[in-house]
Amino acid sequence: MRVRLGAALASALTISIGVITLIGLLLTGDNFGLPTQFAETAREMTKVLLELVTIVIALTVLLGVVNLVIVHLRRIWGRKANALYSLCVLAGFGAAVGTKLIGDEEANDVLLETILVSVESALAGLLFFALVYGAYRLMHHQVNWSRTLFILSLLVVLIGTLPFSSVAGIADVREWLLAVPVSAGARGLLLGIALGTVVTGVRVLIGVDRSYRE
Amino acid sequence: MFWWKGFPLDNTIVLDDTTITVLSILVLLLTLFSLALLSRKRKIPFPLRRIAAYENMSVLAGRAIESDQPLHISLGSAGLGGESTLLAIAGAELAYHAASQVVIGDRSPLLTVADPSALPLGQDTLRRVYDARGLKARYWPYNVHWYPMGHRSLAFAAAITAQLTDERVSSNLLTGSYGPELALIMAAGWRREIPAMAVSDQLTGQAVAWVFADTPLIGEEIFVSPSYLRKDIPRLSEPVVMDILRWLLILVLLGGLIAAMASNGG
Repeated sequence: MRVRLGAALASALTISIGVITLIGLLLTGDNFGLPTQFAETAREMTKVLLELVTIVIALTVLLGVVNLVIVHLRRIWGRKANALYSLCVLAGFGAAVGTKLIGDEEANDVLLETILVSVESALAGLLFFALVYGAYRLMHHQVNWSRTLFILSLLVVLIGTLPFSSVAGIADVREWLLAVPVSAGARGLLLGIALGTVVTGVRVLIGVDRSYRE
Repeated sequence: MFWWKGFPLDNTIVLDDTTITVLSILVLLLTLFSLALLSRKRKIPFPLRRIAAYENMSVLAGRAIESDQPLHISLGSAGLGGESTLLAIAGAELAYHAASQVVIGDRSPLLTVADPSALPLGQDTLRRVYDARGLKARYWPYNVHWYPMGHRSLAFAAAITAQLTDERVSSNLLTGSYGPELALIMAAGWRREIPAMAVSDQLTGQAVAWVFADTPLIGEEIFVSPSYLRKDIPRLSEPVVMDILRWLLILVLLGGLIAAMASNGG
């Protein structure tokens, strides 16, 4: 069996850095009977490693900007469909950078806050229609017991929210739905995701994950 | 009453974060070791339960190749360095398997990310796919697109919605972290009859995924993709470990409930 040196080094580096960071984080509040000097060294090393991570992640924003510009330049250059949108993106990007460079904070705020917030608010409005459309399509596409239950629960929750005394009974059902089955289901989902996260973390720590080995 | 020396059951036990972390690691290690011993004795592979989304993956890939349109894979707002680091890694693993099925076609898959830290991860995932298939010359790092997200990820959703038309995407594989904005992307896909598979670690995003996706994944199913999709070396340990941990958790919760009922006098 052939083992690539680069892959072996990457695995060794990942596992050792992961273990050092884990030890440092575990020793944050207590030394667990270990020598003070060892605990302090582990804590310091973890601190340095976490700072390095922060710096590297900050640098990825620069990579992102380069990616954004090249992707849209390529679209314009290739005269792809709707290249005008790409031109707008680049013009917006240029204007945001330009106003920041010349120190025109007011214009920069208009671009980054006023326009962006307005556009996002409009999209949030559209979201309402998309969700209603989803509920309609859910039943239109295929009717089964789980989908029927979903729609019934949706109707109970919506009607139960109305402030009319005639739907007080439904409001009680809504309260129960949200407090018991919805809450239990949500916690079950979150616990499942937490378990998956732990298993993936261990996979990375013991070197089974291959993303850095190829 | 003492369970063993120094472990009073009738006193309130305060568990700080560190103790919980250490206990979690110990439980996980014990489960892994037990599983390893059990597998060695049993020699029979554990059966995996069916997950429709993974069974449907080859259909999505086939559609992309036959229609000569790109498969769109998105990691959403999952990124490295934060709480969603492991989700991003799991999403990239799923992206790897999906992309490896479509790179033999003429059109390269498109990978989109909202978090800039996921950009190198996405690019490296695509590079590994082409490398593994012996098509390194066809790898182009700018098939991974970064769409910056605003305060509520709606800008990201708008960009993806536009991309579905511009790039004439064949299928959507949305795996990562999404909120309700996922509905915008999925509704746009529906209007163009683009099939989709979706999963999110956020509850609102997961609910939207269940409603809209043709084949949704539920919560932790995203973390077991290698066990279902990797053909060369079947890795069955992850879903089995997760199931064992899940049952342990259920037993602990039931135990806690019974103990609480007993202490309150039934």
